[in-house]
Amino acid sequence: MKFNIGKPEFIKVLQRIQGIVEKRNTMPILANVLMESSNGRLNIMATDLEVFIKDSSPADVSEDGSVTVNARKLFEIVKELPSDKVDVSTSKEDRVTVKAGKARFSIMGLPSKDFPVFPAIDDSRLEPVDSDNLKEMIDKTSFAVSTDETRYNINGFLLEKEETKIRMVATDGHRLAFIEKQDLKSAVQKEGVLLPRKGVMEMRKLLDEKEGEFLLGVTEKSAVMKKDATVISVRLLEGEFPDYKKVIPKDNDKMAVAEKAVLLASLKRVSILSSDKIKGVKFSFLKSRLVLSSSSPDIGDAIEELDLDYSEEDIEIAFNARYFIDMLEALDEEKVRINLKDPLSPGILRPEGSDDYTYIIMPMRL
Amino acid sequence: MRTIMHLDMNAFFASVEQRCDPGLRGKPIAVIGSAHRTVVTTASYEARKFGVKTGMNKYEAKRACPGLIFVVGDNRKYIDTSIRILNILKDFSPKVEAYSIDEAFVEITGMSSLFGEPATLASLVKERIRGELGLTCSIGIAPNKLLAKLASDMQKPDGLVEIREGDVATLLEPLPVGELFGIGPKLTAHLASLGVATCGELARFPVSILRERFGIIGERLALMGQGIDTSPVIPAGEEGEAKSVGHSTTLKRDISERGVIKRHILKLSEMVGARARRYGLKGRKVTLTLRYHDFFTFSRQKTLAIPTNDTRAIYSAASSIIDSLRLKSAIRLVGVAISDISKETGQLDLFEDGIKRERLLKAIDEINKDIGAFTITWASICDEGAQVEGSGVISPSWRPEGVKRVEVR
Repeated sequence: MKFNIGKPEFIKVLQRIQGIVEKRNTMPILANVLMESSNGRLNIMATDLEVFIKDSSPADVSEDGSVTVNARKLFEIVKELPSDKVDVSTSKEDRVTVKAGKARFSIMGLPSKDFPVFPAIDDSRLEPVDSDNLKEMIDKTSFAVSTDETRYNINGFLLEKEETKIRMVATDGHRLAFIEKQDLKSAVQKEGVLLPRKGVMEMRKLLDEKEGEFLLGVTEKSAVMKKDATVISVRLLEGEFPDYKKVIPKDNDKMAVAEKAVLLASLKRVSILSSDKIKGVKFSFLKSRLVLSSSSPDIGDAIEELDLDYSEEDIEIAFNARYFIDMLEALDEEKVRINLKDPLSPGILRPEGSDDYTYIIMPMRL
Repeated sequence: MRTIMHLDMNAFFASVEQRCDPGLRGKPIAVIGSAHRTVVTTASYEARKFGVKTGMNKYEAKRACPGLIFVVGDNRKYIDTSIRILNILKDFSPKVEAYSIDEAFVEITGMSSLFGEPATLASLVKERIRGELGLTCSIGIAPNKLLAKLASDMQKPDGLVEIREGDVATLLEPLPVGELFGIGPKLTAHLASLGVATCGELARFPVSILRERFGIIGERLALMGQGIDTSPVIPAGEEGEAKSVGHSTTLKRDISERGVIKRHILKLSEMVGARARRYGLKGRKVTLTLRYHDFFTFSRQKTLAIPTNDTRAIYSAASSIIDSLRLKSAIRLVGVAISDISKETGQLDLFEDGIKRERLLKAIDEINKDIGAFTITWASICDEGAQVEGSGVISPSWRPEGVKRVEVR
């Protein structure tokens, strides 16, 4: 294998795969990137066996071939190279030589035949997708995804369609975020799939690219996103997502409407003094006002009052402020609707004037 | 300099029985458990003269002393008496650490203006315990807990020994290492293989070799050889915020079968979980400690996404640790602990399964609290090889108060 490539192009494709390569040392080859030169292109691929990513860039190929080499080291080297052009070649025993200007690196690689195979993709099942809508769905739910490895069935997003709508749901067992959009429908061909967090976050990074068309397809085993030469394939999670519809309260008739920015700023302040790791804050909903308070036995206490629209009977309820803040920060609208029932029942947060985005938080015992 | 008193009740269970039943006084008796296969828990001094020892089965005991009277132990009596003893000790110092059901450490530093010299104070304590409860004890007085414990062991029954700072080196020089608290027969044998028989030799032995040979306990061993112990007397309720909740167990025999080790891990996880739940604590880190048959001790930790006190989560973390290890030899001791402790927050669960789980654990805990530990437990613990010892006898490490923190050194 032998090729010459522009440094910026090389950096771009190598950067994209850094999030995927395996950090734990379970299978050494997963820390590597597969490089393949043919037909005037450099094709690269990386995987952790759950997320597969491949990319490609034009290159001046003088000899076809392939090899795998440590992805992180290669990226670090290329970033620091002194010239705009990089020469890459392999010798026997899968040793990779990287040359630029007067710098020369020789890195041990592993044979490409040992690298996992990229899952086959049926291009006919990919459909164009509105990247802004998809981005919004991810951003408004991703913070609620559980990171507790023992609860694998909620370590990702539930994606399902109902009639003409597509819905994304995420939960960590204490809160749940739920968003619906009208389009995207054709891309999802299977009911109720579970997308793992890591794979979706890789797709989310790709969605930040401005131009071009994004294609999405969700099939039996995987979710695939394609944009130009970049393809991400994510293996779906197995397991059953909890019956989230059951926990969406229907009789939360105590409604308050607050200015998002005011509530957010106030919560951030008051939660500074809530004790240790869990940011418990007491919410006292009174006529036309909300009193937020927190206390920590070792440090002190904080209290702040703000105006809001509320005309039901008084209610005192405690929430983890972090859960509230996460949602408010993701919200685009200026006003937030809060629907409550009693101090031990879940509260609902929604933007004012829309039911497409719903966030449910379980309170804390006072 | 500190002054620490260690109080050790003499033949506690047997003495309490003799106190309650005058017909048993002056006679050789042995307290046994209620279980079918039971062993001697405590023998009275009269029985000890015949060679009756703790741990003997009934047949062996009877053979040693044909006139021996067996008494089935009554835990409530012992617990009640233990609490009374602690209350007497608290009249002399606020710093009383209940170490086990029949042992306590008392810090009496600076008490001389109230009660006179340490030995005088100790005599007053012995007087009151004899007068109010009719029991005798051995008391050791020394500059630290290690030496106080040693002193109380030096004269039994009804002893009072004071070790002064200036006498420590002379005393320890010829003392066999096995006399020190915390150095058992196996460790003694291992030290002997290094040519270390006495505390003096232990004190002079290179720390680096001890560390290499015994892991983290090596350094502590070197200090013990010099009679140094800085551990404080910790009264109940002043343990501070518990930094960890843990339990460890020395196995009856060294075990290399993973299945059996895992059952012990499950049992320990349940003990840790139940205790943490009782005190409303949760931990984010789970530590598994293992000791090989050669005493090499090591710990591995796993951090969880959310703090827990659920036996299942603790077990699953601890067992995933052992799954990732290649064991070099049979295991002698297993320990499970949770750390990075936080108070239960009262955060409610959104889904039914979380709520149900919480209720289930609560119900189990309440039943076990009323009827006895492990009344309801995981079926696999009941499997052969890891049976919960149902001797019917209270554990000697039982303490009447406080979050028990068993630290594995």
